[in-house]
Amino acid sequence: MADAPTPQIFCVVTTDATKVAPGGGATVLVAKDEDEQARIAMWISRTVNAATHDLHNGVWLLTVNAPEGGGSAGG
Amino acid sequence: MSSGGTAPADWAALIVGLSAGLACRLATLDRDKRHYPGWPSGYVTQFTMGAIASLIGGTIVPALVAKEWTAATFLTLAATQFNSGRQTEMQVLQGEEKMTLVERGPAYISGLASNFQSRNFLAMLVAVVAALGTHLFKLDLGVLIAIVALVASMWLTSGSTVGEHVRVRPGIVKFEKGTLLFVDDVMLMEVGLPHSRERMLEEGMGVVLEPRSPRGESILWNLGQRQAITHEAAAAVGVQQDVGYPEQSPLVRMRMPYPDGTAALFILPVVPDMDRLRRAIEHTPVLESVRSQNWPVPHVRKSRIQRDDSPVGMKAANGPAGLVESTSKS
Repeated sequence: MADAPTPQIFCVVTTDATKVAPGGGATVLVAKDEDEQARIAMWISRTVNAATHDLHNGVWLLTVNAPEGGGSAGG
Repeated sequence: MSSGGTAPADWAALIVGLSAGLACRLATLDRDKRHYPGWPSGYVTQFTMGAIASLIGGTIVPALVAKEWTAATFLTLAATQFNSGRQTEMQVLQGEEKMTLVERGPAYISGLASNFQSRNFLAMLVAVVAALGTHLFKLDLGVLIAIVALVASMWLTSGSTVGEHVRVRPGIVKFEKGTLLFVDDVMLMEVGLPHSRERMLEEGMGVVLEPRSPRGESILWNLGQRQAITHEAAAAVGVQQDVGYPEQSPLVRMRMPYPDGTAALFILPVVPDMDRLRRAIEHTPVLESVRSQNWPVPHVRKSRIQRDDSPVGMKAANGPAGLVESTSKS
């Protein structure tokens, strides 16, 4: 459905590695500060068409639509 | 179809029928403002199919009068052809969706393809009525009957627009709790990138869609209709979106939690013209799949709202102007 996104977690970008437990399946990238975190998230989102979401605990999720979902839906 | 020795054809009926059918098809061709049909191929295709339908409709009556009964089989052939034309049109539109930044959505496409088929049938029917009237009542009255049939066909194909059921007004774009995008008090989505948030605040536009009636509310609850509204908005003012920037896509969301039927649209336009955006949304056609719905819309449970004394909950308890208060339980 075009208006109903079906996001999947593509990767996790965090400034605190202890906030993310291993073995979840998604790629985890650890940034040294918030500026680097924003930069990494921006570059990845442009590369793979991902949306960025802030969990407000130092962890950012990057999500992509499932392959059968619509490309114009965001968020 | 006709061999030598049969009665002379009623040319007046045929010509009046053909003309009425052609006029009907021309009058019901959608305007180019909605980018469908495309110019010139789309227009030529639709006009030609309409001409064929009008010819069949105008020819049937004189043929049957001349006792050429096989002419009736042309009607079934026409039905089959128009049906396959509709399928083809749907496939073409669905194929275009992959290369469109803001899609029309399956409901809108289905509506467009159905319109394509039904308006050809309508042209044929108008041609039949006009030809029959001319054959039975002579030319003058036949032309009058053709005009009445033409007016009736235009009335039949005129659907309502979103603006008749929904009030569209500008809204304030803001972020709450750091990353939650709001238009007035309608939450749309979470935006994690600071750069994206800055661009949305500087260049984004938001409109609030308030239903004038339960009909308007059921229109907004329909996902296909919301996608159509988004598509028309993007077509009117453009959208600063490309592959790789999913958070900049326009979207429409209902006010949640405590829904009261209000929705909001956010868009990053190329042309920041609020009037143009409002007009485009108001002129978006109401899809047929929505028109047929007349079920009670979800009713906000007042007891739940009254316990919530947050600003959002208090505003929901007061309700927007124009919304019919229903006591039905959902």
